[in-house]
This record gives sequence, C-alpha cells and structure tokens, in this order.
Amino acid sequence: MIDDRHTQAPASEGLRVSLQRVSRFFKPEKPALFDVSLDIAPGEFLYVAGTSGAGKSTLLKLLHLSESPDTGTLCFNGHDVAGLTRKVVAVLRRSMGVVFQDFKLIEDLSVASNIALALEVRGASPAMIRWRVAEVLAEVGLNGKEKELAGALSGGEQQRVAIARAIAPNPQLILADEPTGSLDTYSANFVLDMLEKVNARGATVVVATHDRMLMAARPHRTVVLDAGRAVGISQNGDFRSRSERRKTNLEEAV
Amino acid sequence: MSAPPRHRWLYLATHILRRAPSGIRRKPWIHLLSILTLSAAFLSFAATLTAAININEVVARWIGSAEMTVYLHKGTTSAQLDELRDAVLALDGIAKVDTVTPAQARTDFSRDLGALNEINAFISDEAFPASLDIYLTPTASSDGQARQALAKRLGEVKIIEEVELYDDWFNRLHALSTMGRTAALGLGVLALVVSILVVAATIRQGVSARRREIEVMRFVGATEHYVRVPFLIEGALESLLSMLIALVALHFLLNHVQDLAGDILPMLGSATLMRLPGSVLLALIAGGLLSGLLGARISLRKLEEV
Repeated sequence: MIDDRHTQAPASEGLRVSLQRVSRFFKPEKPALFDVSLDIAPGEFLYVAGTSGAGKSTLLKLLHLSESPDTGTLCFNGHDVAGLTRKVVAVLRRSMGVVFQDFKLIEDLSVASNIALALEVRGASPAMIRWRVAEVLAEVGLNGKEKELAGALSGGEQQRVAIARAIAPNPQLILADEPTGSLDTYSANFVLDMLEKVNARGATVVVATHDRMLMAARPHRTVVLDAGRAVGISQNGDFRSRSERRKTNLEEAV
Repeated sequence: MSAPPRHRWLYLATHILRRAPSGIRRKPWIHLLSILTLSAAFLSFAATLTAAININEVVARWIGSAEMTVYLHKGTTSAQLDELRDAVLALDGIAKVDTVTPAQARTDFSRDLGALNEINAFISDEAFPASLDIYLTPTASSDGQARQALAKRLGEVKIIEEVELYDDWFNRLHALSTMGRTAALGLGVLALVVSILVVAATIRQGVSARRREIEVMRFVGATEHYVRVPFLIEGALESLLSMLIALVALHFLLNHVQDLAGDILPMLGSATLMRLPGSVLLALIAGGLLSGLLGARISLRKLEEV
C-alpha cells in the first residue's frame, strides 16, 4: 500500500475571498443579497451576522459556489469565479470545508465513512484516509466512535463529525452556516474552539451566525447583514448594525 | 489532501468501485426484487431463443431429408425395387434416390423410437413396405407444381402403392420456425424494455434514497462523474447478475426438459436439445450489461434535481 501521508501539508494556506458589489435575487423586489462588497483576507476569521432572512446563508452559498451572483464579481485569490464549469467548481470546492446547522451527515454510514468521503473525492489513498480519519477524530474528541453510525450520535457529536469531515482535507476555506444553532453551550464552544484552531493553522474561516453571545465571547471581524445588505462591519466583534449602534448610543446618552 | 497525481486516478477508481455496490448492500430487498424480476424476463427471452434454435434445427434436418417417398406394393422384389430406382433416377429434377427394404425400414423406425422401441415388436411387417426416398434437385424442389406432377406420374406406376409428399409438414415446420423466431424477437425486445425500466426504477429509488449522500458528495467537491459512475455500475451489475442467474436457470431448465422429453426427442431427429451457442451467450451477457447501463443512465437524468 502506498503511503502518501508525508506529501500532505500539515497546515493550509488560507484563501483570499473578494466580493465586489454582489447581488443575488430570488425575487426581483426582494434581493437575498444586494450590492455587498467584502474582502476576506487569507487566514481571517469572519463572522457573518444577521437575523433570519438577512442573507447569511445566501452569502455562504455564493462562497461555496452553490449559487452564482446575479450582478457583481466574486473572486478567489484574485480570480473571478463566474462561469466556471461544474468540474472546476468541484475542484474549487475541494479547497473548502463546509459545516451546517443540520450537520448534513449521511446517517446510515459510519462516522469514519462520513469523514472519509471528503478525502475519497480528492483521490486520497486508503492508507492516507485511515490515518487522517483517525487523526481528525482524535482532534474532535471522538476516538473509538469510527464504526458507529452517524445517525446514532447526539447532536453535539454529529456536529463534531461534520467538523472533522470539513477539516480532514486541510481546506483553505471553512464555511460554517449556523454551526452552533442546534447545540448546547458546551458543544457550541467546542465547535468554535475547533474552528479557531483550524483558523490558527492558516485556514480562512467564515461563520454565519445570529448568536450574539457567541460573537461577543469570541470577538472577530464581523459583517452584519440586514435584508440582504451589508449594514455594518465591525473589527472588534461588535456585531450591531450602524442604526443599532446609533440607537444604543442615543439611549446611553439619554 | 490528495494523493500524488500518478496514483490519484487509481485511488479515485478504487473508491468509485467500492461505492458502486453500496446501494445493493444498503437496500438489499429492493435490489433482490428487481434482480428476480430481471432474471424472469431474461429467462423467458433466453428460453424462447433456445426453443427457436431447436425448432430451426428440426426444420433444417427435415429439409435435409427426403422430399418424397414412394411405398411399393407388398411382394415387390429387390430386382423390381432396383429397376424402379434406376427409372426414377433417369427422370428430370431427381438428385438422388435411396432404396429402403422392409428390414431397413423397421431398423430405422426402431432407431427413431429410441427408448420406446419395445413397441416395435408389436408392429406387423406389413407396416414396413419397401420404399424409395427421393431427393429433388434444388430447382425441382422449389417448384411445387413440378413436385405435384412428379408425384402424380409416379402414382400411375403399377408397383407403387402410395406416393407421400411432405409439403404439409414442411409448411407447418416453416410456420413454426417463423413463429419461434418472431416470438424470440418479440420476447427479446420485451426483455430489453423490461430490464431497462426495472433497472431505471431501482436506480431511481437508489438516487432518491441517497439524495443526502449525493448532496454531501457535491458539497465536499465530488465531480459529476464521481457521483454518477457508481450508479451506472450498480445498474450494470444488477442487470449482469440477473442475466447470469437467468442463464444458469436455463441450463437447469433444459436439463429437466431433456430428462422429461428424452424419449420423444429422437423422433425429432436428435437425441439432445440444442443449447445456446457460446457466441449467443456472450451476446446475451453483453446485452444484459448494456440494458443495465441504459436503465441507470435514464434514471440519472433526474440527478440534476437532487
């Protein structure tokens, strides 16, 4: 068996993402995203905040190339990704890891098989897959659960498996859509710990969330969306929009 | 985190091949039902094909046998028999004439009876008159009026008791042979359509059941080939397996028929049933494989919506 584990880089180099005046319309009168411009530096940890329907998931879908902008440009490392073939999109997605609120695990497959899937599509060797699956399972604290069916795990454990699947291929960009939405505080903190750990190794991480407590406890640059528009960008974890801040300042002054 | 390029395709192929039968493993009853349905369809086709081949063989043997037999009156001497043979040979349109003495006729009859030849002892000598088997030239053979005229002319010869033409038999056998071929063709088309529909329905169920898996695979960067090829292999495997089961079942079915009809078969000119030749078996296996691929391909049109 050929062991190619030593050819793998232990850490990834983050992806630079740039959106220039990007809009996405599902209904002409109600844009899911409107005129959003945003630069995400390589290795950055960014929150995308906002209430339900603000456009967070649409933004993440654009970054994951599941949706295309109706207007504006989206660039990865300076390259416009408009009009790419499905094959190239698939290849680009291999540089990303995705984590969802509903985990998106294949419930009747084992934990190890779920994680292995992300490595198999990249053409990793069976030996490499076994080694890497064991490594990431240890990292997310699920040693010994390799053979259990994903559907039999608790919500917190399932999210750990989803994170293990996302980080297993050392992606350059991690996209997490409400990753803590259905978890208790302990599991939510664990998930954020993991995402920060991967970010510390160099990966760019984008987390969509409406959990203000979480963002306050772990401050990172935050872009706030409201009705599809970027209404505020905070460098210090203050996720409130400009209007909200003005209102708060006014209240404090009074 | 991918393998070096020289091994990458090998590993990708390995993963695809390993994933291919996972649908069968995870939904065994659906696949078992579909394999049984396909096997039944393939078996009916292969059995009809075998029947058609055997009927054709019988027809070919009859065509190769005498086209006209003249039976002589009792008491005809060997010298008269030889004289008549020479006279008939001299006529236009005659290719060959064989003389059959009463003793030869009984021996031939006994041989044709096979295991039933015990009844031969109960048949009197009168049932086996001397006769001439007459073979016509191809031109005369294809001319029905010429055959009838020759039969009429021979019937007027004094020592000839009866002239037997086999036109009715030939016509019936030809009709049977044509019917067999048509039935085989019809069942072949039906088996192909059934197999495509059954495989398509099974794979469509598999696609539907594995909607989440397909979605996840796309999320993690699987190409369309990586998603689709395992379903195609699954369809082909299912169909191939069904065809192999059908052919094995046919083998045992023919053995059983051979045991049951072994006593009658020699009367039709052969002691054993003809089996499908190797080339036909290979064509059937390839056809099964292709129908599975086609069925899976049709069902994968829906994959865009997943």
